[in-house]
Amino acid sequence: MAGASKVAVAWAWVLGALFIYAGALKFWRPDLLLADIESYHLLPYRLAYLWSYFLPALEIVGGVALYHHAWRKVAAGLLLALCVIFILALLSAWARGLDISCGCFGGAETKANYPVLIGRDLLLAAGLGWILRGRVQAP
Amino acid sequence: MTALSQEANASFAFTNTGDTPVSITAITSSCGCTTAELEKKTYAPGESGEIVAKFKIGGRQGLQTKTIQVKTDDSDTPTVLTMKTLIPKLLDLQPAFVAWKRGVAPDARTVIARIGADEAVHITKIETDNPAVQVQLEETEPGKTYRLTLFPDSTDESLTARITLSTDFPREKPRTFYLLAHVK
Amino acid sequence: MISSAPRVAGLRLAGLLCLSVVLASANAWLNPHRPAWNLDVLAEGEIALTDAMAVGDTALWIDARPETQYRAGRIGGALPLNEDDWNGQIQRVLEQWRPGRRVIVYCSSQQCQASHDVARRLREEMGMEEVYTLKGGWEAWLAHQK
Repeated sequence: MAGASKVAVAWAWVLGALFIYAGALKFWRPDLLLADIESYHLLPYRLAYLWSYFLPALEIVGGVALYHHAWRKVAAGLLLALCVIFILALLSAWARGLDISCGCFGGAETKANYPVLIGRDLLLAAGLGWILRGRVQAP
Repeated sequence: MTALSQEANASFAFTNTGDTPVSITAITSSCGCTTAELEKKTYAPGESGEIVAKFKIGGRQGLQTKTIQVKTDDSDTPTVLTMKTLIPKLLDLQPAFVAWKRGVAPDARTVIARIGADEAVHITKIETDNPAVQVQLEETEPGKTYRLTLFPDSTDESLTARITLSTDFPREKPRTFYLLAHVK
Repeated sequence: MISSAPRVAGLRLAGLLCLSVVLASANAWLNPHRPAWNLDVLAEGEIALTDAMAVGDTALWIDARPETQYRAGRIGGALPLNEDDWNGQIQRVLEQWRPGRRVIVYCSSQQCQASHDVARRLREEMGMEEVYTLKGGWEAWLAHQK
């Protein structure tokens, strides 16, 4: 059976754990996540509310699915789409000069480091892309 | 901390106990009055650093709790640093304000003023902006404690009297305090 | 010839999405840290923007934001009062207030804390009643002006 390469499987395990962990943290505090989403000023309140529940669930389900060979590619595609959304949201906030790490006072806090945040998501996307790319299974 | 302190500082030491370099990506505080200073952003394994939190006190008093969130590139969860500062009130009025119920017999009410500083602070002048409420000042402990007694003329109508307490401290710019007396 | 692989993949994707919806719904039902679905829900001591505007300047409006923001633009007639310079600013507020006059305190947005702190001090230290914080703050006001 032409299986996925060992590297891709290892990546899937690592990324799976990452997404499950990240998703679980957000899953536990939807109120904090909602405030975070609102700081991007991209979604109206009701949509942001729904997304604050849906997003963590997607991350957890996607992360778990990465562990099973049959679901791996679909999960990778789904999570890759999420990464793209994150990167676009960050770019949008950056372009508008929003300080998404800021509370409302804009004091002398360290501003959100956009290159680092975007770079991190690009790395995740690259890892997921690698898994997606893996050899097609024999029918 | 004294009643006249302008700033409170706290330092939070940390060490990179991992085996890869860690960078601090964002520091945010719960209010604009608290800033955080950091010498540099990236710390090698084993390296230590310090975050110095500076809290501008302004007109705040009592127990102040401010938090600082520190985000690093090795974790999605920010670390929350908490800074608690107890700022003594220069003049502590107990109760803080006085209220009589309309129609109830106008009795005298007492307010105890305590000085929250080591130095002697004197209430030099006491004025009411509404003659309907009279006030008497008694120095129970020189420079330390005062007793104010308030007498309303009548409680037939709603009113508020603003009592201004002038002090002699600090000498460069003596502080004024306000006590409101309500009939409602 | 219809390839079955994309169809299977599509079904699996739908499966993941459905599972996520179920998980998200369970969380929305049970999580102790649920945010409010209805923005109209007023917290203790809050006043909605429409009600505040109806009250207009019969109320005393207080701007609890930092001085730089106050100077850049404020709700007309609002007096500055914040914890940075409470002692310097309180006298003017007391001069403008009279018994029975509502007080509306705002800061920059729904999330900010300053208006609540200032409102609390006015209630606890001055004994003022009918002190409200403006829901949505300066941001809500600006949005309404458009």
